[in-house]
Amino acid sequence: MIGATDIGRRRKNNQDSLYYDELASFGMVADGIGGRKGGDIASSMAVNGLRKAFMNSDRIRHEEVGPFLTSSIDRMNAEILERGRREQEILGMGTTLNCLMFVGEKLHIAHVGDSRTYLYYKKHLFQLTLDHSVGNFLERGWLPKSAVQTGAKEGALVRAMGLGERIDVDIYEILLKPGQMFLTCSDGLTGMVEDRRIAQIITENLDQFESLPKLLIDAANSSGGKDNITVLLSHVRG
Amino acid sequence: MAKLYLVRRNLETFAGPMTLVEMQEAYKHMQFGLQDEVAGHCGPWVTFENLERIKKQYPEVARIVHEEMMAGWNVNSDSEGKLINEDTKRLAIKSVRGVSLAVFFLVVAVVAFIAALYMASAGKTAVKAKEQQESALRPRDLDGMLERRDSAGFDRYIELHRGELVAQVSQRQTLDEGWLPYLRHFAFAHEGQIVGLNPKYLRGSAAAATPVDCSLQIWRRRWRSSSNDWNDLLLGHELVRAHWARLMAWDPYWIKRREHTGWIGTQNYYAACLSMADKALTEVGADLVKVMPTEEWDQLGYARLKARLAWLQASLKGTTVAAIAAIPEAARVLVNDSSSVALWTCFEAAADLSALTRCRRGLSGAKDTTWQAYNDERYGWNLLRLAASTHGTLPADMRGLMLQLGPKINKEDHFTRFDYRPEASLFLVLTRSNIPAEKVVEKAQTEFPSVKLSH
Repeated sequence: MIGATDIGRRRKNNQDSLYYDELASFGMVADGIGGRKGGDIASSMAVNGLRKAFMNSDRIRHEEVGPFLTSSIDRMNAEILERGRREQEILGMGTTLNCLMFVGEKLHIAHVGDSRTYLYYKKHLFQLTLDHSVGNFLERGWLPKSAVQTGAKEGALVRAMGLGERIDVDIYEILLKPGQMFLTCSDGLTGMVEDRRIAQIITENLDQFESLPKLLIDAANSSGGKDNITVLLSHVRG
Repeated sequence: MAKLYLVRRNLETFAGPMTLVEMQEAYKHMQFGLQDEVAGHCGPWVTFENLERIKKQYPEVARIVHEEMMAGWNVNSDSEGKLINEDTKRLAIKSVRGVSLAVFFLVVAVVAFIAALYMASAGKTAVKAKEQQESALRPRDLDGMLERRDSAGFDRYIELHRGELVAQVSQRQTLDEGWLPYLRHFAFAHEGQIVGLNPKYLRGSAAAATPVDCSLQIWRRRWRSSSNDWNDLLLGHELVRAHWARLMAWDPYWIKRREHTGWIGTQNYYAACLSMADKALTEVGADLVKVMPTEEWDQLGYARLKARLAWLQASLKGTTVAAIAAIPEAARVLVNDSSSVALWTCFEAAADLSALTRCRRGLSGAKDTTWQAYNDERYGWNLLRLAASTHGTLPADMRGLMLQLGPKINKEDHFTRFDYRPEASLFLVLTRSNIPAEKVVEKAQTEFPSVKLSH
């Protein structure tokens, strides 16, 4: 596992949070919700809270991963809301979260918001997670048009930590194969660099795994770096 | 290099990446279905049943969808139409004999075309009628049946419309609304599952710390595969990290304090899960007795598990149990027993401080510090339960005990993963405050409106 985070070229602070522990096969990326005060606090609360929950837990079995992730995220969501209520200047803060847990032969991904996890395999790139955006929810019929405010952007988030008392977390699981690489990132990367270009950068630099996060961040900055950029790469070796 | 595709099932699991040929094989082995989605390199996710979009995004996949997946579904495709036209053209340029043959085929084609038009319009009408019937399905139709306690009628209704209801629930992606309360009622009155429905919908969003699947089938498997570990938990050797062990440690008062939306009446996922676990354990017990003497299988801890399940279910049903003597017959096994579940039950059944203190004497037998700390916490939550129901200011002995326990109280039960933040907050305030307990509870209640702290 290797990761990096960068402020980008336009923002005054970095509201993304990154944590990974290669030995524990555990990592996550959170993106404080743009424009909201306290996005950096929310993203670091989410990441630190989950990290602590993981550290305090004993060995987690397969069937326990889902309940562990959902209950921990649920709790952190409540803590983010609670802190927001206590400190008026950060009321309404929120964050996305993509958390990766490798257990045995499977990867479990907990996902809320529009940070993404991709699978790269044999020069192919697949987006595994579904962005919790207004556009996606409208397209799938999960959100009635009448529920969307006039002028709401397609990319506006429907789900994120800190948005409400209840949080629906998507839990994905995928069987691991040697050669797979998982890219988890904030929208500072995907909003600036096309998927095909991301795949190309990975393909061309497969032998320099350690420098891949920086190369991807550089690509996002070269395209304008409008947002904070965070990249976490996990490689499944044979 | 061959193109690879990834299949996403139920927005949860994946098959692949795989080549077209492998995809064909995977479909034959029922690794995915028409309702699942496929994506190619840097491409969007498209459901297999959306043939138009599949053709546009992944034309090479469309062929497989047509040949393999929709075979037997009477689905027409454009390619068939084109073949008929080409054949007709070839016939038209033959000899005079050929021309008459062509005229004959043309007449047949025209008749077939008219018939097809008629059938299509009839089909459309049928589809329309079906749509009207679907939109006519309303959850409230079932309320009357539930009020009349017409469970046969209720079951018939759900069984008749199961496919449509499952599709509606899966498509809406909400976890507590619409048909879900009724589907949950149906599922847990039977075997805890509905064919075609992902168990996450039956669990809903509120019970995050619980197993995703609480069906009878899964519980049978859980009990069978764990029988050698039962005593590890019961005799206090290990807090076994498994759903069956966590279920034993569920705190009925914690559950009763929480809101359970998306369920009919007083039902909730915890009670449903306990009921399935209990049924399954009874079945496993019946199997065990066939293969070994009763004394032997009971030594595994069967009776204690059954007794704890009986206690948890009875206490969730809302009967206020004032003393352990009032617990169900099966749970009497736990009286004067030294197991972990007997101790927890004793705490939960204690109606006053002296009863709770008597239970605590059992703590001295705890094997190690982890158990000691865990049992201390459980004692603390029950001390809080008694303190919260005190009228007036807390008695000095109670406050003293709470002060001692304060540093040991955690915001989360690390074993069951129940979130005790509201309780922990109330514990702290009650310990520090000199005003009547009911006032403290009332104030804390405003901070945590969704948790009934007085319970």
